[in-house]
Amino acid sequence: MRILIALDQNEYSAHTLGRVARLAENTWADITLLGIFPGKSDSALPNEFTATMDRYQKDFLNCFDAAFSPYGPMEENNAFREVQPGIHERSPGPGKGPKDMAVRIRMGEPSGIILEEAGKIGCDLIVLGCDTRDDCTWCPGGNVPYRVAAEAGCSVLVMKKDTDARRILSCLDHEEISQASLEMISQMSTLFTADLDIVGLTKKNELKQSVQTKLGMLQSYYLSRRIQPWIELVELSDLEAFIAGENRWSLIAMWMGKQSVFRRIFFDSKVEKLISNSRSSVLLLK
Amino acid sequence: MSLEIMILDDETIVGERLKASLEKDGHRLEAFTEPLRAMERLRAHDFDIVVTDIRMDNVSGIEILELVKRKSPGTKVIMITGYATLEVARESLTKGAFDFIAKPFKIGEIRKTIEKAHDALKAQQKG
Repeated sequence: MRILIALDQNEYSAHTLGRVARLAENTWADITLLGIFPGKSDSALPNEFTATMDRYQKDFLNCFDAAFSPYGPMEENNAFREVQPGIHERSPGPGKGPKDMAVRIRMGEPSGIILEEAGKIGCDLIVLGCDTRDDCTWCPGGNVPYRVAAEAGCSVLVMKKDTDARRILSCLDHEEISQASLEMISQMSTLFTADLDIVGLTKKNELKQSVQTKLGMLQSYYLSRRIQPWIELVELSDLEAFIAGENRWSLIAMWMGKQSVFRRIFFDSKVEKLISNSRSSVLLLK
Repeated sequence: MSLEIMILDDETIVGERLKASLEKDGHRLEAFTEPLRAMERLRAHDFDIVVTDIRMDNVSGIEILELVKRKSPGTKVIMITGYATLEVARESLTKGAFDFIAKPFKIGEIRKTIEKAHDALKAQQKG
């Protein structure tokens, strides 16, 4: 698994880093720490921001037991160097671990940069933090988490501060759902030590035969992997209100592939609202 | 050099995807979905590389790892899992796994790891 973690200088980025370190510790993922400074690419990179990235990298590596760390140690005197205008990186160094860890800083508009880097490295998951204020600030640059989630070719996890909830709400019931999405949910269930609620949509209180079959398959899939799934039947017209009761969930996972029924029902402005306003973390699966 | 590789995953789709891709690279592949049958084969034959899922019915990937390392210590074992935890990663590596890969993964990731294992096998033969 290859994970790109997008970071700015806000508190939620530091929080996200700690949680993703646990995911990385579990999965031995290849990691890219991408710091984004919202300045023009031809301006000088502020020392304050490189210091923040140093701290992030140290904090991230400190989460691992050195004897079992998949990543090499952070080396002294390994400064960031500008490899292209507005792109700074640290060389991996000779003490490389079995898994890759790249650290880069880029200057410019965050969502475009995140999408470009994600495409370049071919990552499986983009993770970025977000606060729970009304407009979900992420550098000056508009609703960055939403724009990334909407346009990325891979899954995107928008992390909020932890809630006490230990349940994952999964909106997955379309027949075209990808194997990678099912596997990503399994990893999240392990990471959040959470039970799984799978939504089945009803219309006029009737469940389509194809949906029923798919739900049965999903239930068997997770049960055989020793994850306890709960099926929640929700009337189509009540879906938004149901999801809005998000205090119940630590994570809302929604499959948003091209064929997704949820993409049709839960159109873009509602997804944007969900990412912005939800107190739960949101995982958009592709 | 063509390698002999065993793939063991109780999800048919995983073995099928890997088999098609790695055979294109010139390797000889045997894919299994039933751990007990894979164990029988491992007792009868040594592979260069074994790729095994960790969580399966009846037998765990850790038992597969132990069997391989007992019988053929030079074989490189790559563990794959959909339910990664720190404990499982540590146990795998302590018991001699070559690498640990969490699902979902891209075929390219497995191919890269197979190449690394191949390099390690070559170094082993020289040394």
